Amino acid sequence: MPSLHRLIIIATATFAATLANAGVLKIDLPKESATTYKPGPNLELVNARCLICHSADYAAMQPPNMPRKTWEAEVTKMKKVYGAPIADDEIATLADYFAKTYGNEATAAAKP
Amino acid sequence: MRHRSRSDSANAPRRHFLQQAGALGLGSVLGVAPLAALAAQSVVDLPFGNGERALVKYPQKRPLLRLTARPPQLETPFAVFDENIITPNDAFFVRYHLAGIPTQIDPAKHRISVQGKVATPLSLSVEDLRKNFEPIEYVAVNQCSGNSRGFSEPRVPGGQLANGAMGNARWKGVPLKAVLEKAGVQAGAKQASFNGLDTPVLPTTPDFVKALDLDHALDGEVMLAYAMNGADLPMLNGYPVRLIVPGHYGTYWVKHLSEITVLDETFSGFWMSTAYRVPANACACVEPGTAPTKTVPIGRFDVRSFITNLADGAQLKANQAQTVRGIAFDGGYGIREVLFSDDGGTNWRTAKLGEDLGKYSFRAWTIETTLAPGAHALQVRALNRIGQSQPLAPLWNPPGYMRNVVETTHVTAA
Repeated sequence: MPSLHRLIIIATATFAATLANAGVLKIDLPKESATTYKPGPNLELVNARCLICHSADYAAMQPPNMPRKTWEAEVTKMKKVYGAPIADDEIATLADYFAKTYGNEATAAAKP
Repeated sequence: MRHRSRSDSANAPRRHFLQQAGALGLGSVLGVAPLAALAAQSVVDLPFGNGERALVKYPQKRPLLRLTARPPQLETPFAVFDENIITPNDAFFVRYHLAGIPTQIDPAKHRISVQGKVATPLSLSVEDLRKNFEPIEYVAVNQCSGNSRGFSEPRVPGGQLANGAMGNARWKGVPLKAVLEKAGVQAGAKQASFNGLDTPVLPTTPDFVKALDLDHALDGEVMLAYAMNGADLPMLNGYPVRLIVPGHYGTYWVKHLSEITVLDETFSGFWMSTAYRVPANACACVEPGTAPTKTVPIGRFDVRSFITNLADGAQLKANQAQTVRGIAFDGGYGIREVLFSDDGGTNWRTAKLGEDLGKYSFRAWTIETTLAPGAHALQVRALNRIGQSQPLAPLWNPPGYMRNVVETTHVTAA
């Protein structure tokens, strides 16, 4: 058995190396887990604007206590710096959603 | 770092994990999960709010802590750093900014253009790099600027990382200097900029392009790497060629390198002029919660050190000599000394340093300790060869970069 074992290892290694030399490297990324933001006010607008460039977990991992002004700054950055197609009058709406859904206003509301 | 299963009927996997930990002795005290056990766990709770991370397997990777799916951002489980001083390719962290990432690359067709203020523009294949240049090789740490951001207090927005956005690998490739000299840098050139295959989703988003001053680019150490730990780079770490800027934060280590442009001015792109900047002072810090008046592009790593074989909350045997071990690194001057305290910082002893793999590498260290019954705060503090060290209290800046406080690991001996 040991010799067969070694043969298999050599064969596998050779095959892998051939692939590496000849080949195109192609990967398949795992499916995106979160394809929507959490339920909250104006969720449709949030999903329409904030899923274009990145997954929803960008918001979900943020510190739980972020205040409205921090969320507003983030939304403004997405528009002004990263060129997200967010209308001026949508900034406050989006910030309102994040403050109430992921920010400190959600934490306060959740407390008994 | 605490581990648990997402499932409500979590008792079975949990017990399984405890048995494995017990079988491995001191090195596997509770909380330092053997990887086999870690892989069996689906969720890790990092010790800060919203720190729940799924362990997800990506191509060419073992299960890693997923921060985000699109683009992928994956953190290395901290237990990996106790396995080997070299971080395996399949455990190395992943960080992208823009969701247009390459998932298919033909290395025979990939080209790196060298353009701008050069005498002879070049278009280099990977084969050209391998055959027509003298290779160099060294071990170097890559660390994300925002490594450990999740511990910032007050907390700041951004990628909420624990301490696993770092890794130590042996890189092989060609010096950027040789490539630039082949192209012939024109007199008066000031910087070189670097672009890779990753692209923004929207044309209005600034492409991820970084720049180095020309004297840095020509230091002979900055490398176009085509091998990582003796193998091709994993796709998610920059296949087929990435820029290696040893001693400097990962933001400069452009992946899937495709374009080098020599400039006669300071590069003004967003990722240099606005992003990845730190307060322009010696500590790169400001009063927590305030904004800096002046900033500069982030540069070299500061000094860091970690205990790797004991996690916070570990339980040890009292009155028995035990080995504590870990790693230290800095921005490329080399680690001179690692100090260890088992009494919360009152007394410090010098740890024994492991093999020197070069000034850009993790440096292993070990020390013996015998603890009386009760609670103990273990601390580690490194010093580099130019006298830089680590602060006893954390420093703060708005983007949450460059955290390097002396780490404290709370353990109980019984």
